[in-house]
Amino acid sequence: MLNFSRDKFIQRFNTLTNIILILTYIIAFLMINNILILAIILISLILLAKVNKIHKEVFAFFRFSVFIALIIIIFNLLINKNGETQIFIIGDFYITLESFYYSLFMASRLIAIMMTFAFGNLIINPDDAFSIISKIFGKSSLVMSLVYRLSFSLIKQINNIKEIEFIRGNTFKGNLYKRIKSYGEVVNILFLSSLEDSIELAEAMYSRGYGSTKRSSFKNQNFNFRDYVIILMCTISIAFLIGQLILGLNSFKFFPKIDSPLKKITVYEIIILFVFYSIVFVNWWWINGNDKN
Amino acid sequence: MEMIKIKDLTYYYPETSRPALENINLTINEGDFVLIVGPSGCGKSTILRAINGLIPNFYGGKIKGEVLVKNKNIKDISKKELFKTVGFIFQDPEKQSVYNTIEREIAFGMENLNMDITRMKKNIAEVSNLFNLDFIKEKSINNISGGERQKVEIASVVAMDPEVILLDEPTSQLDPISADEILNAINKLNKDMGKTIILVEQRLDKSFDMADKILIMQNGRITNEIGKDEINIYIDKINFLPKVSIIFKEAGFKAVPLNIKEAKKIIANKNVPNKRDSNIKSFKDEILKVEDLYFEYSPNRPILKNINFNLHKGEVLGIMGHNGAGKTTLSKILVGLIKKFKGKIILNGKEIERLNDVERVKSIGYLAQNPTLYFGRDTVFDEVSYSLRNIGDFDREKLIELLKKFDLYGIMDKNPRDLSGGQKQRLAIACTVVTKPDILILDEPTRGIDIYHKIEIGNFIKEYASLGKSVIIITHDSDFVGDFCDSTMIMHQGEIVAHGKTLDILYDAIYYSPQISRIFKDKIKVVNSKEGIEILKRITNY
Repeated sequence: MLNFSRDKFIQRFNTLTNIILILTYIIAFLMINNILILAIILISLILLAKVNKIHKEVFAFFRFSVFIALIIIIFNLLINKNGETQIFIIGDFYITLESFYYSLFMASRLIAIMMTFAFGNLIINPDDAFSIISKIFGKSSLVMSLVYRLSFSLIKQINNIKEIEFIRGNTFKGNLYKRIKSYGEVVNILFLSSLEDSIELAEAMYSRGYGSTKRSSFKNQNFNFRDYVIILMCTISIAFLIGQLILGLNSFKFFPKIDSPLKKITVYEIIILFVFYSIVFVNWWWINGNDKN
Repeated sequence: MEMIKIKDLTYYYPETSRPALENINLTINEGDFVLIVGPSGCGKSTILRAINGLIPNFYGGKIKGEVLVKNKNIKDISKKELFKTVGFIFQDPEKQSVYNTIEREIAFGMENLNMDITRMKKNIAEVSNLFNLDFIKEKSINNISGGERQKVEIASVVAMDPEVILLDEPTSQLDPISADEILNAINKLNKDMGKTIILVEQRLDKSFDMADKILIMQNGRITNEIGKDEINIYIDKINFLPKVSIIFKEAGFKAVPLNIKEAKKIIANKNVPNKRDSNIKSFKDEILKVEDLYFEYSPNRPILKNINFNLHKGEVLGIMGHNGAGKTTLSKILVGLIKKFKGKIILNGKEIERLNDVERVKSIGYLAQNPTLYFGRDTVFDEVSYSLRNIGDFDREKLIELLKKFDLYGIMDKNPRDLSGGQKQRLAIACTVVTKPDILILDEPTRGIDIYHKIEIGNFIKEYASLGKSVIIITHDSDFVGDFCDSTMIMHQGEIVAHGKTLDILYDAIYYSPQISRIFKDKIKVVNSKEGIEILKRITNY
């Protein structure tokens, strides 16, 4: 479990600023279809983590996401028969270069999004996030809180369930099918228990007056100059991402023949990259430059 | 002044045809301490939920009748006003917390009432002092004990300054020391602050003594409403009593004590026979031998050290000790969950590390504290058969026999998660014993269950041991150990500090002695309630 601690520079930003920053990265990873641009934005995220000295924790999550990404690549290669360039043939079965690139892109997008969530987990104080979101969205933040709690209890309970399954003869050994089946049993219990827990939490929140009236906040956070700078940069990024989408400039073909990632780079994307790297730079400057206090 | 008034209340949960509450009429005055007792599923928790509007607002269902708080129908009170007047504390502290920091968790209810920050700070300071939370206020909620966590939840409700506090088995997930602390805090709220308290509780030994009024419920109805001074008048009608009262009631006493002090007074001038029939079993065949066991998670910080003991066929061993004493770690080593230990563990003549998976499942069964983590299959039948299928030993006839024995046959097509608490506990035990393990390990099997279910579990353990099987019970419940364990081990900071016959270990224990031993302290050596009842019967006959 990645835990929030309060000793990193980026955690001094207003929680809403960090939520906007994370959302900007996620929107970018979802909208960008050029693998080259996606990779460069991902590097900016890693650099931002490095500047704030949390890159090791983010990379710990990278290993976990690579495993899932590998499964996505294998499934894609087995199922996706689009593309012209056959690179591997056995009888009727073949793999195309285009489907390989496509699966690589989808896996990279997944890794990028998962690493963004890991990064968000490290820079956003969940208590502040809940407080802010419940102020803005009212009762809707109940869902957010339940989702957050669900994900926390998932990790906390997974070992307990695995232990009970082991004692009951589920050894998590054998071929891939058997292992997937073994872990399937754990996941099933995990979700059922977490859902039951969520209902109990919702009841406890309701009985302490949640949603009965407008909320106040025990800890109010103010915005300062640095927050405004980051929010402005994120807004520019999102504006260019949406502009590109509306103008149809973010199209990138994988089939039947893949577009060249280099040739498909747009001016919009260059500006977006510039903004993401500016975010990294100003963070570095605030930490190491004359303005560090 | 009437604080709560319930008139002709009948309630059905959604999609049920049997009422959860039937024709409830009740008046609770300002400052009353009311204890609600009864078997599981009798409507105790439902009545609490009706008082703060969770029923029907949160649960839905059909409701008839009226609930009045301070002479106003709760339908006519705004939610904010209702929650400000009536606070609610649930069973499991882990499932109530919203925030990660203690201070903010305490503030949660106040934030919901839109209190200003100055008032919130003042209230947090006051409740932190009241519940002695100042020294942990800055900690994360995940780094404090269960008892402290429940205190935080109570503080969060008290900070909203409600006049009525409803508590639904607030100690059921806690160890005895934490439970005592919580009950003391609740008593303080009533006696020192004048709060009206309505408590549903299974730990009756202390709460009975604290209450002004006791409500007895059965099948959704209030069958008796008894003032504290009237207990002896209605004694024949009350099945849910403190352990000490039950002992005297079963011995035929007409006036029963509510605590040890009163019990000792009753027998103070009586002639207590100084000889008892010896009921101590001896065992021959060894099944488990633990030699020089040592285990540490991190270097030079041993969790277990110098552990040596033997377990015999047919023996029931109780392992006691404070949280962190190493009890659960020891059981995890025995069931094969922890492998990197030093020392020797011989099970049925074979080193435990050399057992294959099938041998392991057949040799040792383990019932963890939270039975719901067992349930992932669609039906009770599939759930019980799960271990057998895993080890390739499925036998339908034997399974049906087991289901009948645990009274689960009639519900074998139901989803395990739809069962009642008692049924779930029975199912979890059935899942554990289905492979007929030579050693059965039960971790806190009596936590949060009523005295009659405890006896059911105890009787099952004795029956299982009579088949030549061995049982290890990890528990804080001294009365249960005194009643059902042949031998007892006390652990402290990873070491065994006492091990021997239960009678020898528990009789003169300071903290771990069962209530029956405390009653007869310095008169006769006894740890078993049944034997104590027999002695009391002889006293009445003198």
